[in-house]
Amino acid sequence: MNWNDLENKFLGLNEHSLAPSPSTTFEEVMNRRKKKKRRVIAYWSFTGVALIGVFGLISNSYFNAVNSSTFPEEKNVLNQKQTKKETKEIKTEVGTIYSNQNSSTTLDFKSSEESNSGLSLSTTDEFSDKSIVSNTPILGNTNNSTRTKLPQKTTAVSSEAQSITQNIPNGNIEVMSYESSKYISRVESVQEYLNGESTRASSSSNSNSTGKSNFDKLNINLTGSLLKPIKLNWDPQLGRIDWIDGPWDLDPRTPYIDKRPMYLEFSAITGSRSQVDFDMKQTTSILGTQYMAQYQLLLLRETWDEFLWGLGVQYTEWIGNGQWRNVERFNVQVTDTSYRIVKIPGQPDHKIQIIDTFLKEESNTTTGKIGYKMDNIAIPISFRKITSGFRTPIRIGVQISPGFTTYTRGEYFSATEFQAIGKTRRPTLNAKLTAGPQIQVTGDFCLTIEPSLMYHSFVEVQSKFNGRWFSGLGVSMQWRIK
Amino acid sequence: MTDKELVEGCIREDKIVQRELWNRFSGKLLSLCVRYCKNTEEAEDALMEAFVKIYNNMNRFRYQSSLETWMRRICVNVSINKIRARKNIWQELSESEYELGYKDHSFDNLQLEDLFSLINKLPDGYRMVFNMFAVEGFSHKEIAKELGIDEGTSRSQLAKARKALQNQLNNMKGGES
Repeated sequence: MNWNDLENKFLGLNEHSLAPSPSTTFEEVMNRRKKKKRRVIAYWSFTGVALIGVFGLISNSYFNAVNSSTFPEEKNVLNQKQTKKETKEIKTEVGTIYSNQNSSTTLDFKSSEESNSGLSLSTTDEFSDKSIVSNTPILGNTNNSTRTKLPQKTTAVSSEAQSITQNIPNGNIEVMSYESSKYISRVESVQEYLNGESTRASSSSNSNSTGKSNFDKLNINLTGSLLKPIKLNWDPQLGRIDWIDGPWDLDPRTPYIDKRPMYLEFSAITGSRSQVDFDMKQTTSILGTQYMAQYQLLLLRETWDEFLWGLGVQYTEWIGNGQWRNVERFNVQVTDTSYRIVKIPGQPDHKIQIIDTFLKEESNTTTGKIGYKMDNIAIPISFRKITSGFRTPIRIGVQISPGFTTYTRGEYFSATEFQAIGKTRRPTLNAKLTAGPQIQVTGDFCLTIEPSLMYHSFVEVQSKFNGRWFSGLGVSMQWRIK
Repeated sequence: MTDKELVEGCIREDKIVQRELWNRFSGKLLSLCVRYCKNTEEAEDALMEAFVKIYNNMNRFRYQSSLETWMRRICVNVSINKIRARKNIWQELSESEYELGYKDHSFDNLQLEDLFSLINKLPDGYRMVFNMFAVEGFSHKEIAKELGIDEGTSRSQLAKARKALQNQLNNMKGGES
């Protein structure tokens, strides 16, 4: 008896028939069919909305970035510079103070180092006409020149002021006027005022002294939240690809040339990187957002174990806009002289001169706007691996793209420095790491949502290497062409 | 009712024709599913899933084969997908199992239930390949394409399935004596 005899016996099973159980009926099949139809409709509705949303986000963030980068050369508008002068007072010598009804005293309540550091450049708050002066009876005796419009939200500070001032003997309190203080945005600023410190805020225009930036109108658009990864709750069963995902490793695998499919892939991806605040510790600091939009066309070939590699063409746009700030700090010595009358019974009045020397730290803050735009073309070398997780096909991609810039303009910046970009063509190197779910649309077409980590870099004229990491989100469409 | 009438009726969503299709083929296809799946429940589930696909895709039937063959192919695919959902499909036999000799005693006396029992005792990978090759008549090339494996893997799985069957027959014989 040979194997054919064995197998022929089983051939009879082909015609064998079994009666289904009572639960397996035609009606049950029809019910399942209806349910499946509903699920398919719900799935595609959701997927459609999600895809439209993703494309909307990509295009919206990209066009926002493009629209917000306007270059002054085109408008021929002079650079605008805001200057803010801050002072910090360090008391080095304090003379003896005698309490006297007629004496004039310079008050120094406490160190204002903390309050100075919190001073804001913001000029957007609205304030009421209520002044602390009206809330504090002692301060109410002060000179009219101290009337200053202060915010309503300083009630707590007012009560603090009351408690402080109640401990001060009555007398003429000399408080330096607060110049151009229509707008104060933080409570700390009010504390400065109460501490009797001099804080000056002035702005000047049409000064073109630094020459560091030439941008007149750049909106800082910190829309990082727009690019949060989107959860797509599709049903893995519906999106399941009929590819093999089992461990086929019994025999050594030999890839067959005629079995290798080829794919054409188009992908669009956008990324951003935001610096939301100035670095207070640095002399020069920059805040702003850098965007990256990337489009690429790839020809991919499958080799073995759902591993694909390919080459293609890539076009990338980098846009950045923001604001720079330069703080120059210096110390100024200030001498404060006052006189006291000392009355001793039986003796003539003595006049005493008190000389206080202060070391004031002053700072000049200069701000300006900054931006750049760079385009580049590259040849991506791409690797893909299809795997699965949570019963969903997941595609992991790695690619590296050497290329060169085709357009450069503006000043490239990091959190602490910036420099003009050379106009000549510069070499670039982009890299991308993606991992995202793959959705099979038809037998030959699938979509992949690609949360990604991107790197872009270029070499400056002075051979300086500049590189940035971006987080991004994109979509790729893949057609099987062979 | 001919195949063509069945196909056209199903495309029209004619419930009477759809029921006729179910009545005519559900028994045979259930038998097929039982051979692939581990148990009857899974087989019945696969059968209903296969019929949903058959009804939904009837307009894709091109008359290049008989309707039954086409439906059987769908059932095989659905059953294979069910098995794939489980892990460790492909198993190796131990050396001791390979060493057992083949004896043909009392093979002719095997009943249908015994054959089902023999097949169901096979590991998933062996059972799939053996069913497709020996019962459905698929070639190794077709099996490789359907399962996404190499032809060599299909051949080796078949050889191992035969060995396993031989082992089971010997055990059966040993039990009887």
